[in-house]
Amino acid sequence: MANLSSPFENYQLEGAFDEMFDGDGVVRSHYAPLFEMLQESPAGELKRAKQESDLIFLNQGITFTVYGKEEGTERIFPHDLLPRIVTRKEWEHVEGGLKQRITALNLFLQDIYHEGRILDDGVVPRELVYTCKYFRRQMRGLRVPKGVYIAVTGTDLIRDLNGDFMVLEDNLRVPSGVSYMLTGRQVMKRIFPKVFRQSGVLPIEGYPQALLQSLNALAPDGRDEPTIVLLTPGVFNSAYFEHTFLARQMGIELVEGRDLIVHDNIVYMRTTSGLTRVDVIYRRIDDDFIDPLAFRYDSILGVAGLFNAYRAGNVTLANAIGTGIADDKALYAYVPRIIKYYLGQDAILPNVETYILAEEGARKYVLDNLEKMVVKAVGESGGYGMLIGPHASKAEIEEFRLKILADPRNYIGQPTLMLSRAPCFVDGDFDSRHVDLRPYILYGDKITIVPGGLTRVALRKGSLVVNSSQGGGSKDTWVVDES
Amino acid sequence: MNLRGTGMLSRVADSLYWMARYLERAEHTTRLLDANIQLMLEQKPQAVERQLRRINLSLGEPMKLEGKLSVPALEHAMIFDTRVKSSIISCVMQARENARQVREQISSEMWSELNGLYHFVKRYDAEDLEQDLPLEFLNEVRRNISLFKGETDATMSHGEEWWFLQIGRHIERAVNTSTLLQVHAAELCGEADIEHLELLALLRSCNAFEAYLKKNTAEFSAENIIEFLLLNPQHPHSILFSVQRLEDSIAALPDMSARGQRGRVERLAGRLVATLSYSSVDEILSSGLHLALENVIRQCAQLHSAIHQAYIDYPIETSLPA
Repeated sequence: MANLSSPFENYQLEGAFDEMFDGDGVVRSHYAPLFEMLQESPAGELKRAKQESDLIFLNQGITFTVYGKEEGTERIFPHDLLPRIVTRKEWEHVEGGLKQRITALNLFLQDIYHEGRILDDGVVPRELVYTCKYFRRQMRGLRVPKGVYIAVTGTDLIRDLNGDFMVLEDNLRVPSGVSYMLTGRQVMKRIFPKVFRQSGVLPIEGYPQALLQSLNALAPDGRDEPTIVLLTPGVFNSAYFEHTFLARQMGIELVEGRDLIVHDNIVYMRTTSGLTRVDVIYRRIDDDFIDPLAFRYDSILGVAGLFNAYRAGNVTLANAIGTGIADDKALYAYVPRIIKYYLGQDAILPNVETYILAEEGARKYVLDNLEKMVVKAVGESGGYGMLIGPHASKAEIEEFRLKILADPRNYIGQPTLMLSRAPCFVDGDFDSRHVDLRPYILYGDKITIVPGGLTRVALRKGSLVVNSSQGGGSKDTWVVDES
Repeated sequence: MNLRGTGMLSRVADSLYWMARYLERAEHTTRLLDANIQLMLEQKPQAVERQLRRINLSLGEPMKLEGKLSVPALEHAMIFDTRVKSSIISCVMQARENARQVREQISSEMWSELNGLYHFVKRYDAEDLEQDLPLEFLNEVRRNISLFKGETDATMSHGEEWWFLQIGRHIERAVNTSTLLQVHAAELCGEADIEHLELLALLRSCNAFEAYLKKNTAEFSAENIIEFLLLNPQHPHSILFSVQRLEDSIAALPDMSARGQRGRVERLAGRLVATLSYSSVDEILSSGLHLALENVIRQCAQLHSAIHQAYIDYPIETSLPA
């Protein structure tokens, strides 16, 4: 067992890839400035820093809403004091992999909503696509500006035992969390200015501008100075803070469905100076709720007639409608084949091994090994509706077995993964917690990814669930230029 | 790709307008209670009962009262009863809800004051009322609202958003002062008796007691009081002052002459100001105070609808960009 020096005597190193220490307990070189600072700082100073950081989050109102508990309570998003650091070299590998993946997934969307070659060629089963609840028939044959369906993606990456990055899942509908990445960085710069400078951290502050540029690039033809708005479901949405934050950072109007009107297939917003035409909508409302005439008729969040305006090419929706098919958890298993099919390349970032429970052989294997598997409902996100075999009781496993048998298409199985761990400052001491990484990929004229992303932490000891709704927190992510 | 310089969202304007109106109303209810609690301490039971009815009628929307009135019951209703639309708690909750809808449009300081006021009012224990007069409480509410207004002027840009707040505040104030005078109209015109103390309470309810003394000395004549509350061009709670601010605020809104809507709003505001500024108190008294006040209240209601139709809920066909 490796002996770690003060102040890391109680630090748990075994059993996972550690971001800060190698297997022998030696500090990785890109963590050296942080490590030295931690060694030199008295514990009291770090506690004060932690309090200061919490206070900034509180005062800025950086909160999210948790559902299912007392009428949706607002909570401060827990932010760990210590940054998670990756090297530029590691990042370039990740960046290349993400660009490749997003390019392929976008081509896939373009294909299945037009010719469907990949289905004809039998690479992806037709049934899998057509039975997915996120497949939108309404999108068949509809041209989207520049052929870009996914203007914003958040892809969740993990590291396996060897430290290799793998893709856990893609979020191609309305990924959230980027505001925590940006505000977390502001706080870190105030708390650790010296280490920040010494480490040579690559900047991420250009994100709002890059997002605005991407949205701008996707404006309908002939709308050279487009009016861009952010469409929010409203103050009760869990990510409302992020919506106001991004709208402010981009200098665009934050609108609700009731602010928009469609007249003769053109979208307007109601202002005190009359109706103003809207060209691009960065929508943070799910497909289902965006237009009661086209999708769920009982939605009061959307805009009646919006889909017709979209179909007429008079307004751009970002992301496009129907992108959820490509982040379906069952389709995920096919992504390496999708990359190969469109780009003729092997996937740079591998997938996690995935069993599709609609397939009989895979289903038998998973059902026989439920206590070792992670089973996820394909249509759920945010850590809801999943079984983590090793942490589940017998009764929970049996209950899940029945659910799988009742609707196998709705589930996938994966082996229990060991996420990498990073040091966290918990209750005045250093301890390791599991982390993942969600970079944000922007697609307009070209693909842009700000270096790093949101590192999510499972703050409960030993837990592998990083979702904010399930006791997760975040860390600032530093991509450092090692010179 | 930037839309700054075109208008603000209509929904935002509407929320700001109502936020200001509700806060003004909360302040009115607070002052009304404060002035009258002190008065009623010194009144005979019969006079108290009459005064209670008067207070109730002075609320924008009077409560349906049953049976005998008591001071604690009215106090309780006007502070805590969420079913009473003009109660302090109702108004503060409505103001905060409107502010929450446009949280990113108002300054953090404004939000923090309003949120603090809300929590203060919610925390106040109704049982304390039975022990003690709520004067401390009322004073704190008043101070909080003043702080909010101070932060509004100091931390928010005086652009269109700010003008919508001014419109809401002054239209509400003009209506409130008119309603209050209306309730006292018979007495002021000599058709019913009124005690000296009741006149003081009327002036105090309009924050106008000291200002009145400075202008008219401690001589209280009905005529002077009417003139002061209705036609004084300098006191912030007089009706003329309020409608003049209203007119100024409307003039400061963006020009929407293309749609011809602003013209109507301006005309209505101008007419209201002119009706008052070209009147003398003698004329008003001879043609009927009641009538004059009713006229002000009706014109304010017309202005409210005209503003709503011009800026918030206008027909689509006439408002498409050229």
